[in-house]
Amino acid sequence: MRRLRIADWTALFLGLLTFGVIVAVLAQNFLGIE
Amino acid sequence: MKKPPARLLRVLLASVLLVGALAYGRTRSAPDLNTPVEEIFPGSQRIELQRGIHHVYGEAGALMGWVGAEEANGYGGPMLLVVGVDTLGQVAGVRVVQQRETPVFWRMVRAPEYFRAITGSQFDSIDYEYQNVVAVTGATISADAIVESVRSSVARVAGVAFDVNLPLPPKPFEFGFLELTILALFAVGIVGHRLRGPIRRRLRWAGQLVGFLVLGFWENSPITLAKITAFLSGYLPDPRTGMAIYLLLGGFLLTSVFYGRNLYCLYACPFGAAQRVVGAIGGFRLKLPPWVVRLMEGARNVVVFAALFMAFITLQPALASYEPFAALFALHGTTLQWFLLFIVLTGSLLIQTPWCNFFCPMRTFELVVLDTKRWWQGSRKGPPGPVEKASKASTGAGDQKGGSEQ
Repeated sequence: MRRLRIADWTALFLGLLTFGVIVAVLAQNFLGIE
Repeated sequence: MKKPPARLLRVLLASVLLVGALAYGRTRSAPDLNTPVEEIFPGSQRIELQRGIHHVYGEAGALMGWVGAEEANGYGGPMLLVVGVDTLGQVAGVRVVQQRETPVFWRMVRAPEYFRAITGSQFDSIDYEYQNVVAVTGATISADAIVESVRSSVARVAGVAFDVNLPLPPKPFEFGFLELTILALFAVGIVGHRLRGPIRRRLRWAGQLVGFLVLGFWENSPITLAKITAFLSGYLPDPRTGMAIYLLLGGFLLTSVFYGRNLYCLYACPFGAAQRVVGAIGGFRLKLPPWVVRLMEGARNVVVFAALFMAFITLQPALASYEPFAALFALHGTTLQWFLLFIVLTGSLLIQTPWCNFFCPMRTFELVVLDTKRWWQGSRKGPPGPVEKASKASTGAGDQKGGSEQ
């Protein structure tokens, strides 16, 4: 059960990190920054 | 549990907002030609459009030269360049007025180098061949559009100002290796979809590996959000040279409607294949709790909406692209795109095809198509029966679809 919780948090962390990077990529595209 | 009609209403609301954004983008003013013309002909005082070309006049009304401004279709939509030709018939300069290419690919084509190379050439003896000037690999659509635009502008000026007919090269209908491969992949998908067990699994691996090599590394032409956005913006590629994207999107749409699952993602997507290969190495398959799945799917839909909205308002379809495909298949990307690729492939070691399940815009489009189909069927048949209810549950938020067909 404990292992599963750690896995959940890892997945959530990876998911949020990925979304953060995606938003940054879009911002980079639209704002034209390098 | 959210009911599909509510989801469909959200799709409708989003569509209305997106149509509004597109309408706004379309009504914005036409591009300004004065600044680039002044750069090409310093000291120019007046520009007059006559017989399709711009006549440029300097001090005391002396003719300085002519400017052609012809569009060509690039990756993200029309590209407009201006080409100045002086009264001696030499190319005085080339400038970009408007382009809608993906930033990474636009940098790759190194347009200013090409422009410098042809500047000074006599209008009837220009070496247009891009590869002779700038070594470009992987951004051929953008490079071809640049050449086409320049060539058309020069031809227009030659015809009007010098009375010389410069014929444009014919554009043959291209139906080759890439197009045949796409058709074959959908055929494999249709056969695989009708089968069960190990044969289906093998067909799926075979299809995806071919997709990985051909649609990925060889041709770098997976379906991207940029291509869909260009379509939705009304920038349809020339079918003679861009048949592949018509086949891909047509196959995506038709198989979604007829099979309830788009066979592009399952049998052809090169990035799906990349994740599956990494996943096979990792061997883990974390089962995520439903609330995490719902959260990520919701976030993806919001991101897709925001990307489309921004792309429509600015009329720059290529900017909607957030996928890390070019980093993997063309080995070109910004630091952030490389980082995104790294996280997704690392995530693939633990979670099954994370990009497909949680981040890929194609999943959002697929859900929209499936919801619309279900609503259409429901509105014709009356209330849904138990079988349809079961299928609703299985395609709704909360399950991981990427591995559902193994």
